[in-house]
Amino acid sequence: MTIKYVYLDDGDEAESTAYANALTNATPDLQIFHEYPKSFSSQIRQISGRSFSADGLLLDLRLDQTSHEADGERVRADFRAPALAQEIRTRTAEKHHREYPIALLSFDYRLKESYYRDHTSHDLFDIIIVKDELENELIAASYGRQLIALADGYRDIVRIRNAQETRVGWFHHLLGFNDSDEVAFLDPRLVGHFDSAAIKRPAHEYAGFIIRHLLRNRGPLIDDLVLAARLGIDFKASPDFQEMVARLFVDASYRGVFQSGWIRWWAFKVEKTWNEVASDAGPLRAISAVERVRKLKTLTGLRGLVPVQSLNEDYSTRFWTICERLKVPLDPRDGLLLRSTRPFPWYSDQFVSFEAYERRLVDRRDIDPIDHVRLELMKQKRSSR
Amino acid sequence: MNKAKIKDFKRGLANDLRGLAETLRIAGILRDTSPLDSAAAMCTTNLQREDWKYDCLGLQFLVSQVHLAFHRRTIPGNLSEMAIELSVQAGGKYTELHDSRDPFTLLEVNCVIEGRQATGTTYYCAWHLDRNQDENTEQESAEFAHPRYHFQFWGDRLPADLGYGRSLLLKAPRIAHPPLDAILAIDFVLSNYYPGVWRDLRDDAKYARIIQAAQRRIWLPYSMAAGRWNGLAKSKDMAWSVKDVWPQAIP
Repeated sequence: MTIKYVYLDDGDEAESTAYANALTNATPDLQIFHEYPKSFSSQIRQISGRSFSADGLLLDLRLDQTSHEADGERVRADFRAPALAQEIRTRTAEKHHREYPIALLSFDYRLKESYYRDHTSHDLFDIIIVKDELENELIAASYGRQLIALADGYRDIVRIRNAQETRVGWFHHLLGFNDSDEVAFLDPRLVGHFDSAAIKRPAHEYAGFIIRHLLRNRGPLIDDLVLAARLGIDFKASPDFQEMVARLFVDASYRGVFQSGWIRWWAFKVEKTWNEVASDAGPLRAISAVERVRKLKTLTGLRGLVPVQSLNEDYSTRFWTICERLKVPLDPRDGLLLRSTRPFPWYSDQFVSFEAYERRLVDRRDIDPIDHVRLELMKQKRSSR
Repeated sequence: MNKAKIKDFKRGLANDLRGLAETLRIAGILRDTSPLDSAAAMCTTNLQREDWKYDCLGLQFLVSQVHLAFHRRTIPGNLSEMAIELSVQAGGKYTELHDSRDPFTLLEVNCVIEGRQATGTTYYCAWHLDRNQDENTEQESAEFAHPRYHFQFWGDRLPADLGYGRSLLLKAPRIAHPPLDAILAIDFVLSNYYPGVWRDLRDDAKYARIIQAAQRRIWLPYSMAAGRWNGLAKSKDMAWSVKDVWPQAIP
């Protein structure tokens, strides 16, 4: 089924079409229709009414810089994207019709100038697509998949929400579970996050919560990099990695809304699977990468699985996380804790390696003060070699 | 067996593990709480079944310079840093409050402490608390004292190629001690290695409540067994008595 996005951009049509094509060329089943923005009231009438038939909206950040012909007149939009997005969200909060994803598409420098400085608008958009990155086909394909996943996911959220007789206690359906007992392994504060709501919430609140606090952050869900690290596998050197995961860990894969745009696994279910099929090798966390891969090869018969080496010969290979800057496996005991604000208790800690610090990929101020003494000791150790 | 009660028991255990993780994170004691989070998730598998199990592996405690100073009389001395790692594997069956049965069917608590000098040499200290899985041996006829729950010095999780100087490491003695699940093992570590912090945490109602619940669940039946002096117990419903706990006792 083709997914259609309306794309508002006051930039030159040829240029805007080029950006749209970068996304659609990389993504079958995605169509993007560029339009020049109109005046605020006309625009709102068009995109929040029942007649809006697209599956989503893609907005350039600065819609107000150039005037264009629209509906027979020379028009220059009098608003920026956040204002439009806010109006759409407010209207859908009032009445739950025409709920759809809104994505921001803009240049990196413009985002830095405007969007990143205004934190109040950060909840309005489901994803941000950086125009500068669209030259890379893989990145464009990834964004394209996310746009499709967003459209499908919003429809699923609306369908599931509207089918519920109660206003609370059904959030687990959005995560791909039928029974509330199936989510007993999750932090109850996550599953019950919306249970204090007086009414059912608009779709973008559920969507935003899932994207921002589950899919985009490490916690109960992990991505392929962390999965590979926990299985002790050298991601790049193991041609059978995907096949092994498909054979052994399919039950651990995330099957909730937006699953096609964000490929994730439930961290706990990965461990649980290991305990069921590989318990004789020892708990996953307690054994080395070599032992983990040896067992995986025995279980699957696959040869193309290579254990990953640690960054440093002194480091342990009981990998559980990755260095956030170098994107390589790391045992937290060898890493430095990154400073972070954790909006929710289910967020995982993030670590960097000392090597990343040496290469100036991370600054002392980014490291949690709890680990500053360790940082100094690591520096001393290295300089005494 | 009341299935709703079993579910609540398991959920309660998971919530206590998570609550403890958060309290210790805020107190700046734990670097990475994911072992506790994993253990909490494991508690809630198979919610309807009465048996439960969790692994809390590789829990790393931060030892600040202040706490290091407390342990200044180490041998060898002049440690520049210290790291404590705790691993707990525990399992049992659902028990109700005031249940006198042994709360565990398996328990293994391992603690490894590394002390590093500025020269780079690392020294190791280890202890573990085990459950005697060989419950069926009549303690009367046992050849040596093997308390149901006991401490032993040293452990299997140390590097195999350590030098031992002139130390002599024996399996004995096996020192009887009340069992420790992950919650009580953490409290045990704090009480021995973090004096000021341990006292402050005990004043924290949230922390104290979690510890107290674990003690009721685990130490109460143990103390009841220790108080059972009138018989030798080997019955199928896991009743146990003083000789299981203190094999040296002559009831």
